[in-house]
Amino acid sequence: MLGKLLKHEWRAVWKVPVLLYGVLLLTGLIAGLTFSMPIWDSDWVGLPMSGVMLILMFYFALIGVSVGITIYFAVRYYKSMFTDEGYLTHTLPVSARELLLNKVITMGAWNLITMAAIVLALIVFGGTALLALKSGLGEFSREVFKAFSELPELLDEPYMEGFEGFCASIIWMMLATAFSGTMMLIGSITLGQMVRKHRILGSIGAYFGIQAITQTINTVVIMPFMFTVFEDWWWDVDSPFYIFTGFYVVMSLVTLAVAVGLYFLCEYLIRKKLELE
Amino acid sequence: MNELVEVNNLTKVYEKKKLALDHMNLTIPRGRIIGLLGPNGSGKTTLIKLINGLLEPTEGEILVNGRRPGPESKACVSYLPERTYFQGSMKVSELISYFTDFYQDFSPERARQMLANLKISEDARLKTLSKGTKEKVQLIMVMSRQAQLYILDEPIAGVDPAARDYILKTIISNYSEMSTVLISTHLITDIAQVLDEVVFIRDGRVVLQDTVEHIRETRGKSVDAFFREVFAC
Amino acid sequence: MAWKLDSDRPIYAQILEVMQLRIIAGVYRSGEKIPSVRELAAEAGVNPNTMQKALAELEKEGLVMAQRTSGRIVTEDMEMIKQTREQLAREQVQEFIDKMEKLGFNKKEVVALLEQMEVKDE
Repeated sequence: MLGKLLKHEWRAVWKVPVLLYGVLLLTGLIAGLTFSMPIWDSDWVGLPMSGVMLILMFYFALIGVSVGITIYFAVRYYKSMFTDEGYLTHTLPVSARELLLNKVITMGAWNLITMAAIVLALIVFGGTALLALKSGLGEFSREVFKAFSELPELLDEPYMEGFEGFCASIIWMMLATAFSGTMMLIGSITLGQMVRKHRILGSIGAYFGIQAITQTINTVVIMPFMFTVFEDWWWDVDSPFYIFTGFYVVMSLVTLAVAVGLYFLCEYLIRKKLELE
Repeated sequence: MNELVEVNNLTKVYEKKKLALDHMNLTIPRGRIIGLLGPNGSGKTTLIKLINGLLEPTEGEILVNGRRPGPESKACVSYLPERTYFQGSMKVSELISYFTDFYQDFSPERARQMLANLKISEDARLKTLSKGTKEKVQLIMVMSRQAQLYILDEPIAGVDPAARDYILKTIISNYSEMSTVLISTHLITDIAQVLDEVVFIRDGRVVLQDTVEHIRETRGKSVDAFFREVFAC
Repeated sequence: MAWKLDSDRPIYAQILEVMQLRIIAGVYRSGEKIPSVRELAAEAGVNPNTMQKALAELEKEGLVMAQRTSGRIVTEDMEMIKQTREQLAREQVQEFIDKMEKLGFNKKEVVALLEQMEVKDE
């Protein structure tokens, strides 16, 4: 039954995010192409300004798309679980676990896809920009290329040691965030339902509550780690990346633990405390 | 075989200490059309939600085919709530495939036939349909299942006589033999003649459960008249 | 002969009357199959069990016969249909006479009145 839930969920949701990704990639492309236009060295300030505006538009599209997709999935979760649609959702012959897993998997997967789309959009933007600059001749483009050509040498520097591990930890962090971000959303909305008369306000309150708890646990866990780092480690290594990697791994483990806890809390609430209006 | 539905000592207290069901006991047999009758706020919808597993009892229990509400009971109970529960962006055809996938007892052919009779296009998006049409589509979906128990919550409240006739006819011609139809209503006049049995509830308790025929024989009046007498305000 | 059922009299008896009338009037012809219990119940908006009982009564009276391959047909015994028709007519007339008596008419006066009305109609 979980498979069927996933199938229908997927079928119902794919259009909106795909449309948004399209918009994002398009703005990325346009913003990148501005570099190939002969506007940067113009005497009139209006031309480089409009170039900057186009690049800013891409920046806002990046934020807008990730926020938009988050809101889209949050609203969908709320509607299908707790409004009139819930009368169908909760009378399907499936368990509360299957209902919730369906949402967690779908939303988590779309979080990852969104991250991938953002990376792709950045590549499109950077790629078109680079191609444009390569053929260009201006002062500005020479500077940019010089900076890029120095990057590989940078990696050989002693303070860059552990950079690969750091990158891996960032990817791991993204994976963890895809899941924990989803649970944060689902958890806030589900907990918010317990405030029967003010369900949406309740959700917002729950969101800040969960954030505060996660922060507190993070601080408590990180503290001893920090002391170890500063006492024993700090002076022996040349590169700061080991420490960053360590922080990231610990923080993501804490968020994951909170997310798993939230999952079971939500499952319990849906099974036992559901009260549709 | 177990009784279709057994309600034992069932109590539901909402927040703010509102007592909706008060130690209710009730048995719902198979193969009947039963009216669940009572004034507004008497606990009809709460009972129905509990049978459907949309609420948890505060005390006591409900057994459907001898088991508590869960995926197994939901597979054999077909429920028409008061609310329209569709996702507006769905097409009628998508709704049919949704029901076909989730409910083994759903007959898409029958649903298509009934939709065609009403000239409802399968390409129509649900949000474009009028309120009355949406309600009919929902009834068609619910009655296209070969369920053991159909639970219809106020199916005829606020509809015109033509729609009421359509609804009653759809129910009568589609419910499967040996299954039970439980119809809740506060408007008994319109449906008295389709009922085998009635359950009167008030203040979260069963006041009376009897066959329509027996009521007529022993009380010498129609169920309708008797209902008004019992619930005289 | 639509289904106009009122809640003051037993539904079952009212169904029986409508069915008898339909057979006499030839809505359901002699030897032909009548609709199923489910169809008739839906048409009348009544409980299928009630319809079943009424049809069983019709069967007992001999107006319809159960077929081996499910379903019922109207009797081919025209005499039987004629008798039922007459019986119903008698009941109606009797009822009419009872009412007229209450109004203070005797049989002769009733007949005179009927003839007078007939003349007017022509």
